[in-house]
Order: sequence, then C-alpha cells, then structure tokens
Amino acid sequence: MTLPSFVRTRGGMLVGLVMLGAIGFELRTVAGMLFGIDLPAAPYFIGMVAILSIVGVYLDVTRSTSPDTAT
Amino acid sequence: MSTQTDQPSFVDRYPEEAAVVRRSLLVAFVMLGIGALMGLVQALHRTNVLRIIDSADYYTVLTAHGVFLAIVFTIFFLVGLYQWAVTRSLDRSPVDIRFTHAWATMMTVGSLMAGAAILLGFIDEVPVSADVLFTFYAPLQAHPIFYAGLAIFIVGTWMAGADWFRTWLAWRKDNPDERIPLQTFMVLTTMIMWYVATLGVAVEVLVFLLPWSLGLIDSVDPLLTRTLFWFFGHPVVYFWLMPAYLLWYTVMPKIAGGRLFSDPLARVVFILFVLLSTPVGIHHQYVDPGIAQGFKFIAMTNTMFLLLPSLLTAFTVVASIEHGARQRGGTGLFGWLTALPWRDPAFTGMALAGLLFAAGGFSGMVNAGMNINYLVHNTLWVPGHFHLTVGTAVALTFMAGTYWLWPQLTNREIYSRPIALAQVVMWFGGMALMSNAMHVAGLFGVPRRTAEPQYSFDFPALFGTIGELRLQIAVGGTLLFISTVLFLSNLAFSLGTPKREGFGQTIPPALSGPEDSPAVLDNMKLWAAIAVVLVVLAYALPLGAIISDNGLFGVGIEPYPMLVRPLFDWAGATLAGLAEVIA
Repeated sequence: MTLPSFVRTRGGMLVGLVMLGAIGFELRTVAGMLFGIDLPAAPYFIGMVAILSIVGVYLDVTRSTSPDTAT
Repeated sequence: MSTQTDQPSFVDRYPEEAAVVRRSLLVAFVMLGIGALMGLVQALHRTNVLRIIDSADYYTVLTAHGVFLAIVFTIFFLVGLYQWAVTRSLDRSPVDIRFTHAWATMMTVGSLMAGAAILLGFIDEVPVSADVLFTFYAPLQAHPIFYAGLAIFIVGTWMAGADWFRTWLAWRKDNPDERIPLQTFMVLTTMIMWYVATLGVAVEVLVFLLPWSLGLIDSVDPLLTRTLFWFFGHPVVYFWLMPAYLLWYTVMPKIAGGRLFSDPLARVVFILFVLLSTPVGIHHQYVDPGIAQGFKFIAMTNTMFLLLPSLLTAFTVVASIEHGARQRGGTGLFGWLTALPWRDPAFTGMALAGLLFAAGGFSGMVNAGMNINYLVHNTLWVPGHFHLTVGTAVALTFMAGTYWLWPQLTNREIYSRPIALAQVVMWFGGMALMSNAMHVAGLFGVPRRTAEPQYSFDFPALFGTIGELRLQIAVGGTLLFISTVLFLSNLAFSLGTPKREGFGQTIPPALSGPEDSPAVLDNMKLWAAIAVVLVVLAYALPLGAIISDNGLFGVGIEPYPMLVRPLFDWAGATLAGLAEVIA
C-alpha cells in the first residue's frame, strides 16, 4: 500500500496529527462563537484525543509494515 | 537543521564574529529562560491553578516577563542574527571588531541594569523596583536604574546599526556597482526603521522619565509619554518581526530545498516596513482622551496599509517553499505540502510560526480597527494577539532558526533532532491552546494585566465556561514552558557534542534576483527621508496639540523644571536688558 508522504516518518506523523488536533480544537470555538453550538468540553476533547490516538497508532503500524517507510 | 557539506562553516571563516553572535544568542536565551519562567508563574497565578507568589508581586512578574522576552530576548537575538547576516552576505569582517564588542557589551550592561531593577522588586528590603510593565510609560514610575539601563541598551543597538552601516560602506567602496546583498539590505532597512522609531522612546526616557524618577522634575504628562512610547512601541513590533522575516525569506526556502521566489518583492516589503512602521503608533491609543479622532483615523488607515507587506510576504514565502517542495518531487495542487521536510525542526518550526502568524494578523486587524478595537481594548484578547505574533511568529522562528544556525557557529551538531522537533510542535500546540483561550476570554470581557481577573464580575460565556478557558490558558502556558526548557536543554547538551567539520551552508540565489528590481530600491537615503516625512506628517500635529493643551509636564505645571527656572529667569532678564540697550 502506498502511504501519503507525511506518514512515511514519525516526525511527519507528529506534525500532521498535531495540526489535525489544533484544527479540531478550533472547530469547537467556531461552533460556539459563530453558530452558538455549545459542545461540552470534556466529551469533545476526550473523543478528539481518542480518535487522533487511534489514527496515530493505525498509521504507525501501517508505516512500519510499508516499503515506503523512510529511515 | 544543518546538513553535512564540504563548505567551511561560519565559525571557521569568521571566528571572532561567530563569538559575538554566540554571545548575543547566549544572552538572548538566558533571558528567554527567565522570561518563560515568569510567564508560567503568571499563567498559573491568574488562572488560580497554582499560586506561589503574592498577588502584589504580580506586576513584577509581568514586567520581567514582558521586558526580558519582548525587549531583551528578541533584540539580542536580532543583533546576533544580523551580525551573522551582514558578515556572511558581504563576506567581510566589521571595520573594527573592537567596536562590535563595545556595542555588545553596552547592550549587556544595559540589560543587566534594567533586569536588576525589575528583579529587585521581589525583595521588599531593597528600595529598588521597576513594576512598570513592558510599556513603562507614566504614571507608573520605575527606579532610575531601569531607565538608565534602557537608555544604555538602546544606545548599544544604535551603535550596532552604525557598525553594520560602516561595514556596508566599506564593502560599497570595493564594490561600487554591485547591488546590496539581500540579507544586508534587510539589516540596513531594519536599522533605518529603528533609528526613526527610537527617537520617540529616547525623548520619553531621557527628557521625561529619567529626570522624573531622579526627582529633577515633579511631574510628567501621562498622555505625552504614552504617545512618545507608542511612537516607538508599534515599530518595535517590526523590529522583532524583521529578523524573523529575514529567516523566512533567505533561510527557509533553502531548508525547503528551493530558492527564494523573488528578491525584488523582498526588498519592497522591507522598504514598506521602513515607511509604514512608525506613523501608526496612535492606533494603540484609540481610547485615550486628548487625541482628536481625526489623528486616530489617520493612524488606522496607515496601519491597514501595513497589511500589504504582510500579504506580500505570505505570497513570496509560500511560493518559495512550494518551489522547494516541487524540487523535492512534490506534485499536485496541495500535494506538494507533503513533500516538505517536516522532520526538520528548523523548517517545521518556521512553517508553524508562519501559520500562527497568519492567525495573529487577523486578530491584529481587529485591534487596528477604530470601531471594533473598543470591543477588545485592554482585554485578554490583546495578549492573545501578541502571543501569536511576537510569542510565536518571532520566538518560534528564532528557536527554529537556531537549530539551523547553531552548528555553523560552533561546529557542533544539535544534540537531538527528535527533541527539537517535539519542542517546536509542542510550542505550536501550547500556543494554539493558550492564545485561543485568551482571544475568546477577551471577547467575553476578561481584562488583561491583573492577578485577580475574576474580581466580583460575572463573565457570561457564549459557549463553554470561563473556568474552562482558564484551564486552557494554564495548560497552554505549561506546555510553552516545557517547550522552552526542551529548547534550552537541547542547546545546552549541544555544547557537549563532538566538534567536527562540514557544517558550512550557502544560501542559493533567488529565482528572480536583484537585477530584476529597480536600483532605486537600494537608495537608503531616499527611503529614510520619506520615512521621516511620513512620521512628521503623522505626529507633528497630535504632539503639538498635546503640548499645547497640557504643556510639556502636565496641566498647571511649569513648562520647564523648577531646577532650571533660575537659569530661564536669568536668560529672560538678560534678553530684556539687551532689548532695552538696543532700543
């Protein structure tokens, strides 16, 4: 399977996941400030961290078994 | 970070200059460590998470945080970086290295004096304090040592600028037909802007605040000193930013694997900063009584013009790194983004800094608008804004730039690349948390600059809770502090890595070089003259009106100090006598 290039290294994965985390974080602010949707903090953030962790673990496992992996 | 090359490194070619650069960076990083600690104490205190100081000492902490980071860290890094840039791009040493050591020493002495005055505020038994915040205008008064230290520090920066101009003039004598190399051009334009901008703070400190703190004059006019401070206080923002821009324009494209897209655009951007940085300071005074609305409106329009160089920079820098990504095999409309060297902390740090700078630019437009500024004035929104600009665009770029520059100054590799990468990413995450909460809290009306933001007010939150925002600030501030510790310790451990050769770096020429731009861009005298004219146009009438309304030292105060009154009386009597004799 061909990997997206940002997943080829752990450094790229770290930057990518933190960027996704920041975007997810800011989406809650947008929902609250622009649309008046009050998403409860604890379940939202716990859910977000859980999803990002699962994605991270999955990508890392995929990365370590892929021939595209960079050293 | 620096890769292995067969070029001699900067320290191999210019050992004395490299020592000056290292020394400047060392002072900058010591101040970064102390300032960051103060930031952590402050963040945990005002959010009520951990209180280890008395609230009465909050302003000492706040002053140390602001002065150490926003003045000393940034400017020491600037002089170190600029010394490297001038030496490297002109490929020559300063005219007299003793003069170079002299300004570095003066700046250090000034910083120590101002820093000591601030930190002694923690010791009640010592009658010295300077709890005047980073903005240090009246009516808050500091010990004379603080103002004297500031004055010496600023004179040191003037000397540094003179040193770089001398080096350039010597180079020009040998190369009369050459265009100014881009990095030197950036240094010279920055210093022209700085000379114009610091006139305000020099008058404020030397004519008003220092004599006032020494007891030579009884009173100062707060509005006048505020106006003189902001004459300097806004352009100092660009004094922080322009070295970050230097790194974005000249170093970042190289790390990305490409070349600067346009040298002429870079020159235009720096000239626009020379022209527009100073005649905008009154936009910090929208709620000050005593300044007519018309002057504030002019400052607002000038400020909006400043968006132009920022947008030009966004275009040029992104185009340059896209070029680099495509050289590295990147394809597609956005697919090239994944071909960038995200594992390299120098690149990632600068890229993330630029990303948050864009967010800071948007909140800055709110600050600059006369109508909506009232919504956020003196709220936590404002520190939220400048933590994105100076706290990230500048500070994170400086840290990332250090990862690239340090091996060239020491012939030693950075101790750990993974730690460096984690550090810059942690800064990004911490700042995203903290500045988001600050902006949102500001919109809810939470004030800045207080140890007790809760008082007895009830801040209605549009979504979530105020407690949640406070926790967010505390967590973000803690992450930023950990990131700073990681940066400093990584650098400290780098001092122990073995010395080796091969750290020399070259900067490739721009895709569109200086030959594509008109020679008038290099006419420093012309741009300096236009900058002065613009400042006179923006400030002559407001300052004249303030002095006309309030006098030099406040309403009802003698227009000159009591100490010199006999001298003035004597001069008046002598002139009257002369007039009689002539008549």
